[in-house]
Amino acid sequence: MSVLGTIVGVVIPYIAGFIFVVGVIYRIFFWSRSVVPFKIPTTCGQQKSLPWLRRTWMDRFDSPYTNWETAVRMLMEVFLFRSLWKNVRYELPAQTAVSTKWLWLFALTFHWSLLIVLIRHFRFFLEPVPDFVNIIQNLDGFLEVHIGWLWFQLHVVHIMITGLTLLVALLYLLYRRLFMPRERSLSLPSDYVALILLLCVVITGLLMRYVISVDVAQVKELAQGLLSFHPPASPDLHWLFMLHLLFVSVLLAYFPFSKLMHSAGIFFSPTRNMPNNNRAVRHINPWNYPVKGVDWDEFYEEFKEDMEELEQMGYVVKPEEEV
Amino acid sequence: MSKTPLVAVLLIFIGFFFFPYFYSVASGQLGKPVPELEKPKGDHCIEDAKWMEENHMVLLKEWRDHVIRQGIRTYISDTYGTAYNISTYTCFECHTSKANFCDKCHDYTGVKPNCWDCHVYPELLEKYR
Ligand code: HEC
Ligand code: HEC
Ligand code: HEC
Repeated sequence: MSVLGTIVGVVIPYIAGFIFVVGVIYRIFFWSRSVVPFKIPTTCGQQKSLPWLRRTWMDRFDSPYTNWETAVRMLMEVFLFRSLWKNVRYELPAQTAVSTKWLWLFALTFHWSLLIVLIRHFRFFLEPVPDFVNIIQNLDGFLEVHIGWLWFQLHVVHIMITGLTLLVALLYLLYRRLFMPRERSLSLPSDYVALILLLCVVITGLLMRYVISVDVAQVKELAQGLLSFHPPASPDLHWLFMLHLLFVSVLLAYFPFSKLMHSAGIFFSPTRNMPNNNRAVRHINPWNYPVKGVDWDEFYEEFKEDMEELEQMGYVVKPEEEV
Repeated sequence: MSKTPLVAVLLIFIGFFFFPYFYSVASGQLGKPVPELEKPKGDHCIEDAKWMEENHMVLLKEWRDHVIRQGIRTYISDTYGTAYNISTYTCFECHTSKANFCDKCHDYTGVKPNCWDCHVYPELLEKYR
């Protein structure tokens, strides 16, 4: 186990962590330099216009005008999946729009559960364990159940709700791609890889909690060793934990190259991060050909005869006022 | 593109991913190994020590079911065949201190059992004796 332990427990996590950090930062900077030729905020509300056009408070965030309204819309997108809530499907015979909220529900469940599970994992990385981690853990595990003997001994002390909702939501997201005709025809291998990797991580994690218990204290020791860059020479931990760690490492290393980067990409979406103030603020296209203008004196000089003729006819000839 | 998204994403990324590192550095406990536990009395635990380490919580919950639901008050060890009186205090007959044994490990792994809101432990007895 010892050579394998070093490779899976130390070498691979470091390599994966390195790829993750460098990859994510590279892509963030790459995206931040991309050109935005047009102002293309997608909107679903009345935009700010003439004063007597009614604009509800919801319109302000669905069709933001100022920067802070845009920021609120972004937060609603990130935390509530606002645009997915408006997901609509057209049914052909009746030509009606049916709203489909299942995807919204399970996607939201998945992401929130994942966030809470990640915060719970802070207990391995933070020393001393801060209160907010304990509070979240206690709330999450308020179902204090002990299930006795089945045909084997289940290791249940608390049921951690988010762990199970995470699994259920992931299974639904996979089901959707596998068994719904439209979604199936849209799915690419990369869609499945991310889901299956996440499933592997979740399943090994749940197995550790409920079926095959591992020594949590030693896991934390390894995590602290990795974090402090003084990893143990040959960690000798339970094979199930090693498998969990291996899947997490693969996921981390895959992250920057995958669609999982949508977590950062959402902030860079021009349709989401621009205020809808086209009519008030000019958006300069960086691709514009640099046009050399003509100023009033040159213009007057060039059309001197026409201008003078106009003046003699009694018209006022003067430069356009600066706005 | 404006630089606001870049700053936001960098802050979130570094805030979330590197937070554990900064936190542990700030608390000065970075890389803390499993704390030294107090040496227990007796020559073996109720079950095999390795098994206890991973499963003592299940054992305790099972004991609770035995007493409260079935009225069984003795437990025969699977490994050693010794009989033990089922009580949360049985543990403390050998592990004479809660603070230096159970709590040390629980604090380290971030577990907060609520058992001692109601059940007695050596330090509490000491205080009221
Ligand atoms: C008869 C005395 C005795 C009793 C009663 C007892 N233990 Fe132990 N326990 C020991 C000894 C001795 C060890 C150390 C065994 C070793 O290291 O091989 C130990 C080890 C342990 C360990 C592993 C510690 C480590 O170093 O990782 C845990 C956890 C534990 N006991 C919990 C409990 C709990 C919970 C109870 C009550 C249900 C309990 N013990 C009751 C004697 C006892
Ligand atoms: C070697 C470390 C270690 C020692 C020593 C230890 N525990 Fe634990 N204990 C744990 C871990 C880790 C968990 C949580 C396991 C999990 O999350 O699945 C736990 C959980 C528990 C739980 C259930 C927690 C809950 O939230 O309901 C109880 C009860 C418990 N321990 C009692 C004891 C008692 C009593 C002692 C001292 C006699 C003791 N433990 C000593 C590591 C330890
Ligand atoms: C709300 C108070 C309360 C809490 C919290 C509590 N218990 Fe109890 N426990 C009781 C009472 C009351 C009894 C019944 C005592 C009796 O009938 O002898 C009992 C009995 C038990 C017994 C059997 C008999 C004995 O004297 O120990 C065990 C074992 C036990 N509890 C374990 C636990 C564990 C493990 C925890 C923590 C996860 C816990 N209890 C938390 C109130 C509590």
